Amino acid sequence: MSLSGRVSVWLRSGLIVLVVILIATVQLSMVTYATTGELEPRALQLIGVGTNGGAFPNVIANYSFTFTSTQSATIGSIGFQFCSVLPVTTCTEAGLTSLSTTAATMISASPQSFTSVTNSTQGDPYLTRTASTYGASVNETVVLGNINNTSVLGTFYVQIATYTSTNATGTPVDQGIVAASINNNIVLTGIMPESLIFCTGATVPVSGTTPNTAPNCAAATSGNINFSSLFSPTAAATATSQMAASTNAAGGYTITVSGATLTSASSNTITALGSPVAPTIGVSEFGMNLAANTTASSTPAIGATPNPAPNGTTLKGQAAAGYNTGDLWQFNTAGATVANSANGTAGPTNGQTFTVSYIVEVDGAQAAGTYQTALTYICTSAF
Amino acid sequence: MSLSGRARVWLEACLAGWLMVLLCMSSFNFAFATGQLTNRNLTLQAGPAHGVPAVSDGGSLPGGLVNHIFTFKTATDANIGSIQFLYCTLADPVPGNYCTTPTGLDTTGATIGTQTNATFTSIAGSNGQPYLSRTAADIPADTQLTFQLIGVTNPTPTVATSSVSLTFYVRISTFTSTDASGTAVDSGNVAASTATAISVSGQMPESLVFCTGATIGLTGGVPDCTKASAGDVSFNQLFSPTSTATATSQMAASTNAGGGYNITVNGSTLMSGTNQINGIVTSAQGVLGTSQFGMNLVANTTTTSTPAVGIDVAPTSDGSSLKGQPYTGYGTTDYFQFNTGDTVADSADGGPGPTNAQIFTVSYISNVDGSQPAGTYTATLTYICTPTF
Repeated sequence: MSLSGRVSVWLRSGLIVLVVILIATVQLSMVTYATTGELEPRALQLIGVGTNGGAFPNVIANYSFTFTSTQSATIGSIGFQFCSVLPVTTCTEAGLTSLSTTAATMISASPQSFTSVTNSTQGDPYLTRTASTYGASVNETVVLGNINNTSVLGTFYVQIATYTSTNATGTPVDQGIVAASINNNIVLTGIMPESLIFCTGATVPVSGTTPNTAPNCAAATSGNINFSSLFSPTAAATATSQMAASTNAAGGYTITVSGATLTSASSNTITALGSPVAPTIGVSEFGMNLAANTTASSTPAIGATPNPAPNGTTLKGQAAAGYNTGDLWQFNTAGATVANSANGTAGPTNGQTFTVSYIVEVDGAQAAGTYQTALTYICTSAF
Repeated sequence: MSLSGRARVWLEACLAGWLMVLLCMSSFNFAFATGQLTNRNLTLQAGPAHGVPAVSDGGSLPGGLVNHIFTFKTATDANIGSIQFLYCTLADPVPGNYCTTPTGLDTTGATIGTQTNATFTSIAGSNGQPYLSRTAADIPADTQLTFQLIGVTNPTPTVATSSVSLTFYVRISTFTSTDASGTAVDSGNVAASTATAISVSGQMPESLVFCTGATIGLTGGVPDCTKASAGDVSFNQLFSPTSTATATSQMAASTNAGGGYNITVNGSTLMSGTNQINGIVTSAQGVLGTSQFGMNLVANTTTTSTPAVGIDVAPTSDGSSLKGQPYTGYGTTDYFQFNTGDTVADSADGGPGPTNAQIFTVSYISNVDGSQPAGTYTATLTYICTPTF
């Protein structure tokens, strides 16, 4: 063989060897991990977006994947393959009607970061980056956003897999399957009707624990009350009753009182106070108010302001003019408004207790007898 | 040749033939039993655990390390010093037939196991011909005997047999000698067959079954999500400052996740337009006349409402196969809470882990204050069950 012939043979042989080496190198790079590890523990949590519940059918949700790697490797991508059924060897998202991952976004990936999400293939989004070291026992959290839930109720699966490749191909380094469930919401419905709660009695107790207290009309006592002492020209006799009111009426409420003044069986009367005045010992007079009084009126002092005190917003109950000043008393036999829910402006109010104080003074000639009156309180709501 | 000469030749030939027969019988040492062992059988029994991890082979597994149990009844009252078990590929009731040891059989590691009605002290013999031995002692006729050989390696089918199963035979013989030599007292054949194990396999995938509804039905006493009703739930009465309105829904969950599951509730409190009934932020009892919305997952009493509302998780958790439980804040009778995103239940009774299906009954209460605006209030709640595999 001539020299040129030998050179030609050597060149051809060299090319063949080079091609063989290249092919072997490519194949080796494609099959890096013969044994796939398991991502464990692993979980998928569906997170609602806006008012959408994360597990509600056919709504946009965020998918938070958490998983821990087993093998230390160079990782270039993480795939999330949606499956309607198992086993995963035949994983398919077919049947997951309305599922859409083609607009999926990468909200976060930590502690290992990735540059982007590739969502071009329905049901198979993956995160990608330039392949770099990814240690064992890394507890990774990946949140994918803008995934449209399937409309199919029940359980579906997602196979998570890490790859050395940057496009979620080849043999996974680690993988694992997670499950989640799509469910209908629980829709709770209740009706708040037009409401007026009003009661009267000798006392209206309060229930609950401070600060969550409220008048309890169910525990109101009877309306029969007696003055604290026998009537006397030298001292005031007093008594109290209570009433509680609340309403959700936009115009609030007004409470009126009607009835005759104190009258005995012999038709003797004690004169009602026609305008708010301080009481006078030795003068026959009957009055009331809804305020806290002092010993200027009687000993002991009686009465209380509305409880809880009005705040102009949620508590609007207040004594009406003529009945709202301590030690000034009035009783109009023609009927009068004694309270309303107009503190601030007229409107709905939570329950408050009014304490109505009554006072009697008599002159020396006041005829003996038992004096009585039946008072009717009427609460009117303006819805 | 004269007649007498021909006769002499015939006689000499006959004698030579008899001598040959006798020589053959002597060289093959076949035993001529006088009695037939009856009620005999060979039972192939799962063998001792072996390998890593240690497992037992099925009694008929070809090549399996198993136990052979021989049962038979004697025919002859005799002093017996040994009992031989001769393994052959063919039934061999006829003396003179060769016995071929089945391929793969190994009796050399066998030991004596259970014995009934007679006790032998040792086992010896070459492969395929083990025998039990002792100082000869009487065994009456009609004695039912049982001997267990532990650690026999079953035969394996050869290519020629082509079948995955192989029938083999064992000739049982009793001897007065202590080494299975001489003429057998009684004998009889038994047969057995190896059979390839049927491998039944199935895959249990990662599993989560979860559903919600107004109610969840049962099938055979087990929660059945296919029987979940719609999730539209209404309170039992109009809201009122003087009494508590209640409602319930149900959910069922099971998983085989190693870390179990947790269930969160997600949604807003009761709303009517912009009006709302506030959720109870910290677990507390209901208060009449106070606007509040809360829930729990336990049975409550008339302290909360009349009638009482709620049911404890069912079936009751046992810390092993049933692990579902209400979560802190939602697991105390007559105490209620509602915060969106809260975990309301998990499968951690006795430690987080997989659990069979249980039904949670979620009780809702609503109280209102006197000024709660009139209207229809709605809360849309999404329960999310997340298993950790």
